[in-house]
Amino acid sequence: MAMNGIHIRRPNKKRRNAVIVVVTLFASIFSLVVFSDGITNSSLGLTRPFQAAVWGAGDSVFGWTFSLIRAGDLKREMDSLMDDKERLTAEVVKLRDLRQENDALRQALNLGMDKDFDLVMASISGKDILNDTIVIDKGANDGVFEGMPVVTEKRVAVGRVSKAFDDFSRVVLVTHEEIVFEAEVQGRNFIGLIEGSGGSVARLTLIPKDKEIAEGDALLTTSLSGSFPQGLFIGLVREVKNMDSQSFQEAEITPFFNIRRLNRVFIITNQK
Amino acid sequence: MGDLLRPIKLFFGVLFLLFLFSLQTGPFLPPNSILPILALSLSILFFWILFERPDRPDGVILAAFAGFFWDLFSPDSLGYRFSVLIISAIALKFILSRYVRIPFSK
Repeated sequence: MAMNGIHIRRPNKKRRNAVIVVVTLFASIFSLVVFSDGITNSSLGLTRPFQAAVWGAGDSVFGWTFSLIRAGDLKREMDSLMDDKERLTAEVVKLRDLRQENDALRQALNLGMDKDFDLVMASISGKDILNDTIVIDKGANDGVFEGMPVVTEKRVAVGRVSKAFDDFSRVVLVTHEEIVFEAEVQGRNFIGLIEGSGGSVARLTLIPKDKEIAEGDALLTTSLSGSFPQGLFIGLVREVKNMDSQSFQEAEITPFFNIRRLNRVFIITNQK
Repeated sequence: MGDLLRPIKLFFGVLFLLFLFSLQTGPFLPPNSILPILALSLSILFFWILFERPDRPDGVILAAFAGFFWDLFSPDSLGYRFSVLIISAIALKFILSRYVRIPFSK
């Protein structure tokens, strides 16, 4: 519009829309980053029933599909299972006696985890196997905080809480790339460094050349293992690499736990 | 009728993306299954944006949800994948509306 030689530009509608879009976009990204913990916590809570339903349905579908594929083997398997059942019933009777004996021994030796640590039990709400992380259903409201070690009921080191939300926590597994801690090789009397390699694999590095290590050797946490208490099982040596060009030996490790079968874990909230 | 179908389609689109990302974090698929799931999610987004009318924002909204779910079930904090997907979706929409003429999307 021209007014006494002065041009006044009316704001273009398209430009105004573009500005609104850009401002909304930045506001959304800003809120996501700033309120990340709160939003993640609420969203995990909201999506959990859906995830549970998907996993439940998945279980039935996979079970049904496998039974269909293996229909031919079912008869043979049933016969074999009947034989096993008879044999196992006899063993169960025997094991009941052994269990009582074992309980008594455990109490006597004070090996129960609840004696050594304050524990919080948690169920696994999500698994990101590719990134070696899991999400558990206990968070800051349950006394779970960052850095706390996570174990199985069999004293196996699973990982460390990397982020604690109010009702959920994210746990990085011992195979995660950011995990590094010292560990001892059982019965070999030396200490090496566990480094997560990702992809459900970890390595034991800095093994002196003159020390002997073999496939199948078990690894335990030591008092130098940082956030992990002493005496937790870590894994077994899968392959030893001793190259002339390197000053130390290295070993690939398979963790004791199986992430795919893991459903329940314990968080050590306080080492007694 | 078309106006009523739009939010329903969008709702089911969001639900399907949530299903895909839930499946990826679940125990059924092999460890490297994230790649096919991501490829499927991104293809859905691409074709959704390609075939929708250029003046409709549904594809961008869907991309925002996909980015959010991807962020939610990943070890990093929220925002990164959300930004990448939403900016890519807006860029794609801009390029399609400005430089590409698809008769059946009008």
